[in-house]
Amino acid sequence: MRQPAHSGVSGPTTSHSTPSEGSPQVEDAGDARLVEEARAGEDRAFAALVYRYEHKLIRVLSRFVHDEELARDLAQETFWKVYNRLDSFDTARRFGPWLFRVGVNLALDHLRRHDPLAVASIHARTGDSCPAHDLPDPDPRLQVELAQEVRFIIEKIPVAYRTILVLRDLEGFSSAEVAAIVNRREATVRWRLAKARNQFRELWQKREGEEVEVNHA
Amino acid sequence: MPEISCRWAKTQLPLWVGGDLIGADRRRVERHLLRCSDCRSLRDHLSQSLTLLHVLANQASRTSAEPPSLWPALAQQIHESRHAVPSAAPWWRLFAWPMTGLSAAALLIASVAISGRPKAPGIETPTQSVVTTRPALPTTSPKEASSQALSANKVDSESDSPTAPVPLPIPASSREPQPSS
Repeated sequence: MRQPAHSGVSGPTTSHSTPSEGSPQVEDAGDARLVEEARAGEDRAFAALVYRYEHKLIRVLSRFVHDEELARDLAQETFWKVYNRLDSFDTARRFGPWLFRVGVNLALDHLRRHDPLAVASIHARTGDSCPAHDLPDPDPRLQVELAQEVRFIIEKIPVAYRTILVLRDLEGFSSAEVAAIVNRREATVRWRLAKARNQFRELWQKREGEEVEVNHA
Repeated sequence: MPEISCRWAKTQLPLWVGGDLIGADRRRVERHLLRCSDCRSLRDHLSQSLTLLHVLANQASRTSAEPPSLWPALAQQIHESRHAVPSAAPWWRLFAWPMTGLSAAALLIASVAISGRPKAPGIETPTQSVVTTRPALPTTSPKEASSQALSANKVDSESDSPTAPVPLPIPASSREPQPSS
């Protein structure tokens, strides 16, 4: 499915120019209007939606699959799916959560197809000499290691809670937005968010306790 | 404001640390924290955990460079899907119905021509004519009549036709339609 990023294709109605290169109206238009125009066959409008959401979508998908290239493939698949379902989209609703819902579902489907136990332990990669981190370290290298460990802990959280945690705490979506993305009530999302944060805290504290034991041994 | 339990406060603290608790619930939790050291300890651990999550969030946003856009590839996909529609159907399908009609017409003309050729202008339908004009011969079907006519016009009719020319006697068993059992 991966295709050259800047392959030159010219079609009568397929525009490769960014919306900012075109009319500013397209760039500033609301999502609903762009969806309407895209439905009418205006590719520039769909391009504007892609440019508007692609980076955030790829980043969110990377949170789940931990592979930039795979996240890009999934993002492209997401946009392609959405493009083919534009006619069924209710423009009274928000486009962003719908797009992210399709993308997150694709990512979760991908995760289901692969064995989550195959994820290697972060301790196997970094070794036991890795110091315990109580607070973020300003050293970028240590920050990378810390981020890896945090990610490893997040992977241990059940996917129903992890999804909420990633969307809310790593990507900064509001509770209402997360509810729209995962198609659940906001109360459910808040309850799961509380559980997820608590689980993360427990797992992190447990990991720190294990490291202290290893260092004392 | 009614007193809240530690148990309830602990369920709300994960939301409180992330600013997801609002209104009366938030105020209740804050009042409870003032006098509960156990819950304050939990709050500190939760705040620390959230800080760690934000480290990961900031790490990703800092390291990710501006990747190339997906739009060119998507535009190509859209373009190809639009142009794939005519090629999805083979070219010969465009002529399928006209060709079928023409073939049917040709067959019809050929069968009419073939079946009509040996007949004399005055002869009626084969069955009727055989029955009425040739009572000695067994009844023949139109198909047999036409094959007989064909045989009559063939140069060599022995090699590929089970039926002999009309004047020769034909066994009745080979001509009569078998009764269905």
